[in-house]
Formats: sequence, C-alpha cells, structure tokens
Amino acid sequence: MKKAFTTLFFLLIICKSFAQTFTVDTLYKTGVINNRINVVILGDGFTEEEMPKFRAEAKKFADFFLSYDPYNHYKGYFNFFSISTPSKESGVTNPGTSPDAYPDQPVGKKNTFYSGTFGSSIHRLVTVNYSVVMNVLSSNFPSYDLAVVLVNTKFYGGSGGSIAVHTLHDQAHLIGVHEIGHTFSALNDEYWAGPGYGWEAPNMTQNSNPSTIKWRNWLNSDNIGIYQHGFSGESETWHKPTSGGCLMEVLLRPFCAVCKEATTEKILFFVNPVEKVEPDAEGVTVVGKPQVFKLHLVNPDPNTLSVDWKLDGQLISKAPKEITLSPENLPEFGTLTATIFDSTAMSRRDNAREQRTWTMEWKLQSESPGVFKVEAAADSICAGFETVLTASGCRGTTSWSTGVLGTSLTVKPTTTTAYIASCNVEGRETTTSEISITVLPLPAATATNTGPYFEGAVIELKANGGVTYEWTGPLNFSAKTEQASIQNAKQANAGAYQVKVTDRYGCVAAAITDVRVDPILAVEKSENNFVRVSPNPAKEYIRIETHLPGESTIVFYNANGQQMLKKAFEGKTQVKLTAGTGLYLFRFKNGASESSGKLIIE
Amino acid sequence: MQCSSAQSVLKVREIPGYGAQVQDHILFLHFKIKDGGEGKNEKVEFLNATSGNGRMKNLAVPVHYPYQIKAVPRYTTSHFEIGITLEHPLFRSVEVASQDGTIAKAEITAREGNLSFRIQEESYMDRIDIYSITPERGEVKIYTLNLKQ
Ligand SMILES: [Zn+2]
Repeated sequence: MKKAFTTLFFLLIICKSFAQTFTVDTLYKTGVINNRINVVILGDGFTEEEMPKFRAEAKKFADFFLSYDPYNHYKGYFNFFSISTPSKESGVTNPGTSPDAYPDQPVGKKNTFYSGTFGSSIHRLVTVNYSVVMNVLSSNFPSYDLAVVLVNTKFYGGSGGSIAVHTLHDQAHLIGVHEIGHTFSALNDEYWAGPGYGWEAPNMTQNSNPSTIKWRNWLNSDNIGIYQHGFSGESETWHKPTSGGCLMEVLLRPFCAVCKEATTEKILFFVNPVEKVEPDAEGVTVVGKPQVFKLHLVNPDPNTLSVDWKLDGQLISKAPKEITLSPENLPEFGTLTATIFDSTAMSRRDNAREQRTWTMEWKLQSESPGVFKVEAAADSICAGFETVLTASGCRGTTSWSTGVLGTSLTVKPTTTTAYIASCNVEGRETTTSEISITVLPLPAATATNTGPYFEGAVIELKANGGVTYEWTGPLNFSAKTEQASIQNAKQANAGAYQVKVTDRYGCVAAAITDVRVDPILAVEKSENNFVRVSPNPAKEYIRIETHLPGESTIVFYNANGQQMLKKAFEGKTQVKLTAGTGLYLFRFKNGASESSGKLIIE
Repeated sequence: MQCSSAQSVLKVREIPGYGAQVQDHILFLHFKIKDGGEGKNEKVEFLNATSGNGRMKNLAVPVHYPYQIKAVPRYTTSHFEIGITLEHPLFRSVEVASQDGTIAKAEITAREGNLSFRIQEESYMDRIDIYSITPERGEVKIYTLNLKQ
C-alpha cells in the first residue's frame, strides 16, 4: 500500500530533449583530457559562413591566454578546443537603452545561437543565455574545465561568472583572463567592490601582520606590499598585495606576483607533470639485464622540473629523463623512486616542495644482486701513471683507506700499494674490499751513437733497455730497430735522435743521443787538390787560389762545425778571418768539384 | 520539454546523452527559479537534464556574494557530500569592465531566472538538495531532485 502511494506521489520525469552535437575543433592539444586543463571556446553571432572567422578568433584568444604570464610557462599544461555553433544572424543584440550605449553602435535585435546581448541598463555588460551554453557543453564537451564565449562584435564588452563572456574588441580579451583568474585561481578582486565583497582569498586578507600575512614571502620584492583596500568601514579591514599593480584590480596590468603564484599552484594542482613511466611501476620489476627507467614529463618553459632518483633512499642520479640500472648494481630487493619537483620561482609557498612533489616508485628484484667489490681500470701500472678504482654493490657510503669518500678513487702510487674500500650501511656491519695496484718500473732506456762523423760517413745509432724501439730524428728519420744507421752523413743529419723504448710490460721510457757531423769530407782524394789556402798556419789574412775556371765558393767553419765565413770568387781571392785563433775547417766547391781541409789561425 | 514537480524523480539511465557503456557521467541539470513573493521561498521548477561522459576536475568556482544557491549531492554511502555553490539567478552580482581598465560590480535582480549546473554522477548518489542562501532568510532548502538508477 505504502509503495503504491510513493509511486503516485512522485511524478516520474522522462524529458525528451535532443542533444545537439556540433563540430569540436582542436586548437591546441598537448595531452590527455584528464591530465590537462581544458579550455573550450564558444562563439555567438557567427553565421555558418563566419565559422572560419570564429575559429580564427578562438585561436587568437587561445594564443593571447597562452602568452599571458604565468600561463606562458605552462603552455603544455592546457588543451584548447572550439565548438562551432552557427548563428542565424551575424553580430549581437544591442538594446541601445543604456545611458552608456555607444553612439556609433547600431541598435537592434539579432537572432543568435546564445542570444548574446549588450546590457539594457549597463551597456558594456554583455551576456549570453547560460542554459544554452550548458546544453552545448553537455552534449559536446561535458568535461570542460573553463569555458569562454566570444561574441561577434568589435564593440567593447563582456561579463564574468562561471563562464567568461567577451567581445572581439582588442582589450576585451583581458576581461576573459581576469574572469578566469576568479574561476580558475579563486582570486578575489583587488579593486574594492563594496561591502560584502571581502573574503579570504590568495590575494585578499584581513591579516596585516607582515610576519604572518599569506604573501609574506613576497613582501618587499616584485612591488608586493600590504595595501588596505580603503580607508573607511569594511574596506579598511581588507588588504591586497599591490596598489593598482594587478590584473585583478586594473585590466591593463599583468597578474601581480601573488596572483601568479596562486595560478601556478593551481596549474600544478590539476596537471601531473609525470605523464607516463617506463617500465610500468605496477608490481615488481625484475632486473636481469641493464634496465632503463624512463619518465615522460610535461615540461614547463623554461623547464623547472628537477628529478631525484633514489635507490633505497640513497640519491643515485639527478638525470632529467631516464637512468639505467644493472642487476649487479642492485641489492636483491630494492625500491627505486623518482621524485619530481617543479622548482619554479613563480611560487614561494613555504611547503611547496611537500605539496607538489610527484613520486614514482618501482619495486625491484635483481636477478644477480651485487656484492661489495672494488675494481681497478688497470691493476698494474707503469711508474708515474694513474688508475681509477671503482667500488660497486654498496647501498650505503663508500670510503677509502686514503680517507676519500665516494664510489671511485683515482690513484698514482709510486710503488706497489694495496687500497681498501669500506661500505658503510646504517645499522649494519661495515664490509670491506681490497685491491692491490702493482707498480712496474720504467725501462732503463739508453741511446748512443758512434760519432762525431765527417760528411759522407755512416751514422750508427744504438739503443738499449727494452723489447721494442722507436727512433725519431732530423730529416724525418724514423726506425723501429734497436740499432739503426744512416749512410752518407750530411750536416743536415746532425742533431738529437730520440728513441722510445718499450719493455715487455708495455712500460715506456725515452732516451736521446746527439749526433755531430763535421763539414769535412770523410774521404779526401789526394788528386782533389783544387784549391790552395795559404799561409797555413795564417794570421788573419788568407789567400785562396784555384785553377778551376768559373765561380767557386769557399766556406770556413770553426771546430764546432759553425759556419764563420762564406766567399764566392773566381780564380783567386783574399779573406780576413777574425774569429780568433784555433783550428778551422774549410770547404771549397766549384761545380761538381769539392775539396776540404784544415786551417790553423795563430 | 517542460516537466515539473515540487520535488521530482529523475531516472538517471533515461537522461538524454547518458552513455550506458561509459563509467563516468556528468549530469547537466536545468531549473527555473521564480521569486516566491515577500518573505517566501523561491519557486523551483525542474526543466530537464542531459548527461555527458567524463569526469570533472574539482575546480570549484567561488561564489561569495551573500545571495547564493547551494546544490548538495546526497549519498547512500558515507562519502563526503560536498555542496556546489552557485550564483543565485534572482540576485546576481556581475563585474562590469571598462575600456580604461577599471572594473566595478553591479547587482542585478530578477523575478525569474534559470539555474543550470553540472554535477558528477555517482552510483551511490540518490538525490540532490537545492538550498537558497539569502541574508533575509538564511539557508533554506527549496528543492529536492531524487535520482533513480
Ligand atoms: Zn594580484
């Protein structure tokens, strides 16, 4: 009986209404709907033919919004869509009844989709039929986050509420951004709107104590202070962070630092910058071979995300995208975490790090867990060289017998030395691992020659001390033998010859030998008596005479082979040698005829 | 299109646009609200409902003006019932912007208006209570929309 009554009491409602679907165009899609802030733009007073114009205007607003600070740093956190709802007539209704109506705007009623109209008592208050907007959103984009209606007229106007409405006038976009400041960031107005309009908001408070006011971290920077809304009644009890310096007070100003902070925090509240991780963080990840752990992040611009990778609580990397872990570097069971924090300077919230840190966690199981061990890049080294020791498998702090902390150590021992690494894990006994580095002596390299040589002689070089040799010397000389020789020595062959001696351990030492070649011909034929130099011994003046025709040259050298004088002549000549007493060598040349000799100056 | 009752029952699965195969639904509800006369409650008329797929983010639009409408979902479970604060269609406060960048508030009253809002549908939601909040009468319930799966 009672049941029947109940059924009669209620009138069951089944309303037939036909959901209208329209073209939803993507203006910007940066990611999935449920991890982005989705802004849907509608248009009123655009006819079917004007749909391209509507989409262009919608994109213009999207671009304006995305270039506005702080949204410009988080472009990738927003999606923008437009819904094309053609109106029967172009434009907007203008009742023309308000005292502030624009004299040059035509008055009249327009049949438009959302019945957009200028105000009848406040002209620039442009409104639309909110229920129609909700109907379109319901059947075309029910999960929208912010909705904006663009009204097709160049005359200035707009209105707020849960849906922002504004015209195509250049400055009207600012109305939309201001309204979104209310709806998205829960900001209050920074102009005094009258009694009853004061409430606690990120940018409004009754607290005027500089040490506890909610925007205390911004005081005395970025033009932020504590300003009373007014000087009488309710207005004097409320405070704002700037005076005339914020979009929430004056449309032509940017957001103040406090409003930017609130907006940034909202963006980061709704959008998780960690889009995806690889491998999936579900269950246990078995690590059998080197495994890449990867983060797909939505990066702000500039990228203020910082990443901390920790293995069982120990920081192991700050790589921004991915790390690779090998099974031998892991304990048998472990936990890898990646902590992502947006270190943006736009927010100075005290607890920002705790509030907007995103942590991803993988449970790991290593198929070949590491034991604490030390390895050297080379366990025997030649004297004077260094090597790097690396400790692995320690889940705590690694320290070395040299006193150094860390998993690697560069050493340059002079004699064979043992090094001990200790692994210290809190609450566990310290484990150690030892490695000995053998220091090999360098080969005792020697280099000699059998000189000094006269020109034309055979230079003989000899090295010792190793198993392989590498000679270099003047005139690009090179040889890879223990002993080397140079036939028909010239003065240009004189100089330093170096040999690199390598022993059977691969240790290398070098030695140098100086080769001297005197300008005197090694073999002087007796019939080569082309020139007469007299007197010999001489004082200073020397006569030179040849019977060979044409030009002859004579060059005098001192005992060290340095050239002292050079003279060209025909037949006979006289020269003066003023280089002091001693033995001199001379070299005569006429065409192919050559001879040499010694001269003593007393 | 216009169906009415002092309080009414809405069959959720018969709401236009309700995707039976889809897990998450957002209900869009439309009401007409009329001034009830001096000292009396507003008269509420349920107009219609539509449904869309998806989940809403918890982006609550702050309404702090002393005149408000509050819609509170009532659950059969112990889930926390968070009300949605809405503009009162008969007592609205609007922002009026000027080309010189200044902004002011204007209060607009009406004898009747439309109330449209969206709410996340949950299987354990069995009704939505609608309250009027005014300085004159305080908070009073003006409508109940019962939901049937
Ligand atoms: Zn501000």
